[in-house]
Parts: sequence; structure tokens; C-alpha cells
Amino acid sequence: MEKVLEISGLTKRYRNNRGIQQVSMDVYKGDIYGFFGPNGAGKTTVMKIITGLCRADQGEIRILGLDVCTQFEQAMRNVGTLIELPDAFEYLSGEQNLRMAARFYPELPKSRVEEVLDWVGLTHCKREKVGHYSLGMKQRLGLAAAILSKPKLVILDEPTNGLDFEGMVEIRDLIVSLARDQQLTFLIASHLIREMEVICNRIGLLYEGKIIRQGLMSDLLQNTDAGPPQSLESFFLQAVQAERGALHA
Amino acid sequence: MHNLTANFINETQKLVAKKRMLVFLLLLFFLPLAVAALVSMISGGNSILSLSVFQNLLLGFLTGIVLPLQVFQLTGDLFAGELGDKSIKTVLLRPISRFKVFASKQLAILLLVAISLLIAWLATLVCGLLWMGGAVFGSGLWAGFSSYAVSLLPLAALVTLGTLIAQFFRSGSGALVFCILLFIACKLVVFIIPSLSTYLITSYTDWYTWVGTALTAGKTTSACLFLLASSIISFTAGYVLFDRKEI
Repeated sequence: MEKVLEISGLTKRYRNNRGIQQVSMDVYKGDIYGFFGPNGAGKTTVMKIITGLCRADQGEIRILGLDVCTQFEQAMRNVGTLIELPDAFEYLSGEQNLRMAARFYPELPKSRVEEVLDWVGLTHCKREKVGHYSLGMKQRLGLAAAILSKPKLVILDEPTNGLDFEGMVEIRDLIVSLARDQQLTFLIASHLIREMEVICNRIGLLYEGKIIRQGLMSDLLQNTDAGPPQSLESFFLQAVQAERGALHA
Repeated sequence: MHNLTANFINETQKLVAKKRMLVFLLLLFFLPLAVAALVSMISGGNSILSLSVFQNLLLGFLTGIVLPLQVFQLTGDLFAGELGDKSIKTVLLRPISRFKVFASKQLAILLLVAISLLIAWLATLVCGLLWMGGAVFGSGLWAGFSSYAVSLLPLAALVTLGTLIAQFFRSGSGALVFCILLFIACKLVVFIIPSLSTYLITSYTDWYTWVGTALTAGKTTSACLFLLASSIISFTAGYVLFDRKEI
């Protein structure tokens, strides 16, 4: 299988002594990789380092074989992102924001902006200023911006933040269909563990800056005593408790 | 190169999309007209101001106060402001290097400053046609234009300085206030220590007055080199800080 994202030995320490340590992971083409962990575990830090918003103290990141440090522009050409809250220019319309983003991809047809606006259900308000959008609408716009360039890797941090139930289901279905039909690869961090259980095929559990479990969801949730597979929620709680116990022992 | 151009267009679009910029450019055109009309009215229709004097008076006001303020506001908005509200992420997450982001933002600011100067110059020509005897297309036309054009050089140096200062702030207004205070301090300090004026960018904003005078080439060259060196130092230091920023 083709590796879309390779991370090895990623380490970053903040002044408050928190951060991530020796994070290594591989994401393969067509994967929907769910990134889990308690608040402050380091999920967003990893995503920020992958996309160049932060710098690692050490470690290497390759996107489709391209080193993010030395070949940033070429590597990011294959990446769409939504990290933390969607950040659009509020004095511009949703359409203007997307057209500005589209300028970086001359190969995109002009109809692409309309297409992604339609996918995320913002066509009716594309000419409204983003400052007048609700949080859910901004989130949809952020998703539209993330998939605008037809990226091979989409990195989403809490993609359903601020969406109502219907919106969450729509976005979930959109992610699944893009991964299935267009072989897009997703790296998603979310605290909505049940949502992730439905859509992810591969997961990584981050705790106190370290990856403590990772692999195919089906393998990790397999019950060792031949019983029915456990839920992702119980797997998560057991893994975190075991790690806490090991740390305190 | 394509990404640099794309972001230059984006940054310019962002600046022009703000209402206050449109109002500023309109005022820049209509205020000189209003002043010239008023002067003409007071003098009973006699043209007491020549076009070249009017152009120099307006340019002195623009380069001494208005355009430095505009530069500081724009650098504060595009750097400190966007870092503060994290909207700078929208461009940093695109396939463009930080160097190109840094350079394209400053180029967009410089373009807006150049447009401002051009609008003001055009306004003076209209004033000349309407209230100053209509002698617009004589030999003074080129001298007037070149005064406005060369004023861009010290303003470009101010753009790089404003950008450097903006790297220390996470709010556009904070950067603007600091820049204004620094600008005032630089203007005042030369009254106390006149020899310092050689080493302050702010002392060169009126160098359009040199145009057409019998200055030695050496003085002009040294002024050019000083502005260039200051710009390179400010640009490089600003870029190093910008490149290290963690969002």
C-alpha cells in the first residue's frame, strides 16, 4: 500500500514542558486515520507540525515521499487542512475566501469553487460575508477550503465542531464517500469517539505526548478472550487507564 | 513565482476589500480638490497657488504624516492583526513558503502606497486644471510626477520597518500605536540631536524636495544606499522573526 504520510520520531517540547515525544506513524492511501487522546495530549501539535504551523525539535515528516521541511510547497500541494477553528477573512464572502485559496492551484477549473460550496451546502449564502456566518457555516466553509484543491491527504482537527446533528451526519458521509470514491486519505482528530468509530479504519491513541496504541481499528478492538469486539470508547478508556497505571507504578 | 503572484493578488484584494481603504482613497482624491477650491474661492478666483507649490505642499503633508500612518496601519493589519486572530493560517496552510508570504504582503502594501501617491498626484492635476490657470502639461508635469514617484523609496523603507515592528505584536492596534510613538520620537529627536537625522529613515520622507535641485550625486547615492541598507536589514530581521512564528 502507498504511504501518504510518514512520521518518524517527531518530538516537540514547549516551554511549559508539555509537547510530544517520539511520535511515529504511517497513514496509507485511502485510510481514514482517527487520532484520539485526552485534551492536551498533543493531537493538534502533531497536526500543526505536519502542516508547518509549528516546528518540531526533531523528527521527520514525509507527505507522498516529500520532506515537509525541505520541500514544503510541493508537499503541501497534496494537502488540505482544517486545523482548530476555521479561519476565514470575515470581511470577505465565503465565495471570495475560496476563490483566494483557489489562486494557489492554477490547474483547478473555475467551477471547482461552486462544486465544493455545493458539497458543503453553502451555495445559498456564498455571497454573504463570513462575518455573518454561524459557527457551523464557518466550519462547513473550512471543510470546503480543505477539499478545494482535490488534495490527496486531508487533515481535519475536530471537523464537526459547531455542526448540528444533521450537519455532523452530512460531513461524516462526505468524508466516507471521498475516501471510498476518490481514494482521499484523511487524518482526523476528534473527541467524538462514536463518530470516529463509524468512519475510521485506522486509529492512533495519543497520551501525554506519546502514541500508546495504533493500528487497524478492527485489530485493536478485537477482544483477546474471543468475545465480541469491544467498543472504541471502552478500548480508549482501558488503554488510558493502563497507561496511567504504568506511569504511576 | 506563481504562488508569490497569487498571494500578492490575494493580499491586495484583502486590503482593497476593506471599506476604510476605499474611503481613504476617495478622501485622498477629493480633499485636495476641496482645499484648492476653497483657496480659489477665498482669493476671489485668482490662482494664488502655483501647481508646483500646491503639489509640494500636499506631498509634504502626505509623506510627513498621512502615508507613514497608512504604512503602519497596513503592516499592523497584515502581520500582527492576522497573527492575533490567526487568520494568517489560511495562507500558511497553502503551498507557499513563508518567505513568499512575507514578501507578497509587503509588496501589496507598497502597491497600495504607490496607488495612494498616484491618486494624490492626479488630484493635484485636476486642481491645476480647474483652479490654477490650467498650466498642467508644461515642464512641471514631469517634475511633479517624479517628486511623487521618488517619495515611494523612503516609504518602502518604512514598510520594511513597520513589518519588522509588527512581528513583536499580536494585535494590529498595538503595532500601530507603537509605530506612531516611535515615528513621533524619531521626528522629535532630530530637533535635539540634528546629526541623528542622517541615520533615521523617518528623516528621508521629504527627500522629494531634492528632486530638481543642484545636489551632488554623492549625497543622493549615499541616501539611496542608506535607505536600501535599512530596508535590507529590516526585511531580513523581520523575515527571521516571521519564519520562527508558531501559530
